[in-house]
Amino acid sequence: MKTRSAGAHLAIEAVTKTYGKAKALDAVSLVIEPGELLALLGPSGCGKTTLLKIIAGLIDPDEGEVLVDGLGMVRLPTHRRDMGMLFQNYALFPHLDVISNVAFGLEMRRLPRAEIEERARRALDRVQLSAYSGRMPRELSGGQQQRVALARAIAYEPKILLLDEPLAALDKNLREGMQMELRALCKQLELTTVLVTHDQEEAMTMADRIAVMRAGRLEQLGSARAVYERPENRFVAGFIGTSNFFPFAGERSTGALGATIPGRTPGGDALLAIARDGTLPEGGAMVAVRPEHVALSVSRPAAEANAMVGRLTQILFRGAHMTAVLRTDGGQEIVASAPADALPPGLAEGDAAWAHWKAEHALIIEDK
Amino acid sequence: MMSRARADSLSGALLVLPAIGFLLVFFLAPNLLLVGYSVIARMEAGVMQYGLTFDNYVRAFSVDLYWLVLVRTVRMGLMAALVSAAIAYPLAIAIAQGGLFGRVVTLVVVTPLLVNVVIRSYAWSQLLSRQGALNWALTNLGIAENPPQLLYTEWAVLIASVHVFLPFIVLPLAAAIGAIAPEIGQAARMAGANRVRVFLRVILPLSVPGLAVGLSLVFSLTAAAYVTPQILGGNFSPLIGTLIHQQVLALNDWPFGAALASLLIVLVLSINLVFLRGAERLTRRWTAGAGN
Ligand SMILES: Nc1ncnc2c1ncn2[C@@H]1O[C@H](COP(=O)(O)OP(=O)(O)OP(=O)(O)O)[C@@H](O)[C@H]1O
Ligand SMILES: [Mg+2]
Repeated sequence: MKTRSAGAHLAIEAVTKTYGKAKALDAVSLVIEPGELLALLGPSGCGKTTLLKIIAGLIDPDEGEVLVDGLGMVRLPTHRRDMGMLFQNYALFPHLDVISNVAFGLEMRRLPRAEIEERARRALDRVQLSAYSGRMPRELSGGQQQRVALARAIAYEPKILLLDEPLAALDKNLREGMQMELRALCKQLELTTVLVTHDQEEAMTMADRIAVMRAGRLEQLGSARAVYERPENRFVAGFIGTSNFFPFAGERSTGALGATIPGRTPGGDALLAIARDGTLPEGGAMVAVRPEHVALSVSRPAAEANAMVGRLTQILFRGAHMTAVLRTDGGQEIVASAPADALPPGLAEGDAAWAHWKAEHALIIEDK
Repeated sequence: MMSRARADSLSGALLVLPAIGFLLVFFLAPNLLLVGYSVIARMEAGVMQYGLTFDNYVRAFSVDLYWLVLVRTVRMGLMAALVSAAIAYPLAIAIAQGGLFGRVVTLVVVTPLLVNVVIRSYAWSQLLSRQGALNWALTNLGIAENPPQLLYTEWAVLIASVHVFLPFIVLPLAAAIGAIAPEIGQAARMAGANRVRVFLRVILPLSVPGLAVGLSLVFSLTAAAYVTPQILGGNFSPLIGTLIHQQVLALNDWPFGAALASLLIVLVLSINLVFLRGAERLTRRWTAGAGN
């Protein structure tokens, strides 16, 4: 299997799909490089499955094109697109045993019998289920069934692999193990992979890049790190990880990239924050601060530009870290999280404390 | 746990009791009476001779005509079942897919049930008669100069039986196809199967339970029918129903009619058993009590 060429280049161009009056997809465009694993991440109903099925040809778009290595796919029926797909409910053929399930795609390609057997067995080897080739699907656990489905999808060496919440039905421990296994296999086979998930941790663990979707639109596209560290708007900052949000009236735009901009919250607190492109967003600005960047102290920190005083309403032990919630006089809640030993000793719920953070960790984002 | 399970099975038994009682009174008892009638008397030279006898069965097996009619009846039932199955699949698939089209198809399939069988059979006899609509069309379109006689042939009976009993195979098939998760068909298409192969490799095998029920219903209803074969088949090539009717009502030979009816029941039951057992054998590996 190592001799195969790398996965295909996949481009989605202005794909639109409307159900009745509702736009399930609104002019979505994105490019996925050969061998890349891209996650489509977003809340329920944002159009992830619809987009995946349009790539697969299981749904026709109203407008737009899907290009594989530059070739238009939209008029090509599903069975000629040469893609593999995993479903949340595994969708194994219940009347066929494991090896016949895996061999199905090879049989459809009318390969010689010996080659079918050889390649089906190799695919089953790859998912470590050789010992189960004679079993029926109903005799397997969920994790094993999804492995068989994976073997079925890679046996005919597709150039593109589509995954629709493939691990959502598995329990947490198994899911985490399989995330890494699945990613390793995709990378080894150099498959161009699109993973649909609404689980941000899964997207971050598995994907090279994450496409964050909301209500049929692409909100942001970038590496897990870029999307986490530099969210472009309030939705992304809140959906990937958690953030503290402060409505922000900036004093001026400097235009310099990554410029620090002073401003105020509606409550009158001064804030110093950075703007990625040096300007204040037109639709209204917000400052987002990750909880792990908020530090707590008993007295006012001397050198910190951003500091707010309030009362601790909650202190929660979360294992690896503690989470504390501080409520300012203006009613703003600020969440701070830190390793347990980083918290000032002696602070308890009900105490007054200062929350503070660096200007570089206060991101000016669009309020939408 | 144990007592809970026992209580459940006990209340289960109580719940089916009325159904069992109903079947005993209205199904088993009449059938026993029927079989009883066939062995307590025989007609000799127009006079009923009472006393335990198997003469009626000997007569049924030794006279070629009766055999011929039985075989013709079974053949008609099987053909009607197979032809209906072929017509039923596209309809059942459309119904299972749902949507507006699926609902319209359901309506089209089910509404004929509201019209009495007698009326529908007479309608067919009008369409199929020598001066009927079909022959008129065939002649005037220049397709056939001298169109064949259709009415009062087995073809007429077959056509009408398929029409009358079609819903009884479409509905169980649609239920079976509707129960197949759509992702299973999608997975087959992703793996490279075109429509025909999705049907042959996935839909067809997975619909076997519904198919078996439908075949069995259409076969039984056709083989046991009286009205349709009587109106459309006439007396030239009667089915067993017509023959039984003649024995009982025209010739007043109840014991022999009962013997023929008993033979029909045994035949239909055994063929049904073959259908259903065959289907069960085919599907046992993937349907039997999941998860062990
Ligand atoms: N066949 C359909 N008919 C009408 N509306 C549909 C249909 N399929 C999807 N939709 C709508 O389109 C939108 C996108 O659906 P889609 O299944 O792509 O969401 P999703 O992002 O995959 O959500 P989830 O995480 O819940 O699976 C939803 O608002 C949904 O209600
Ligand atoms: Mg979905």
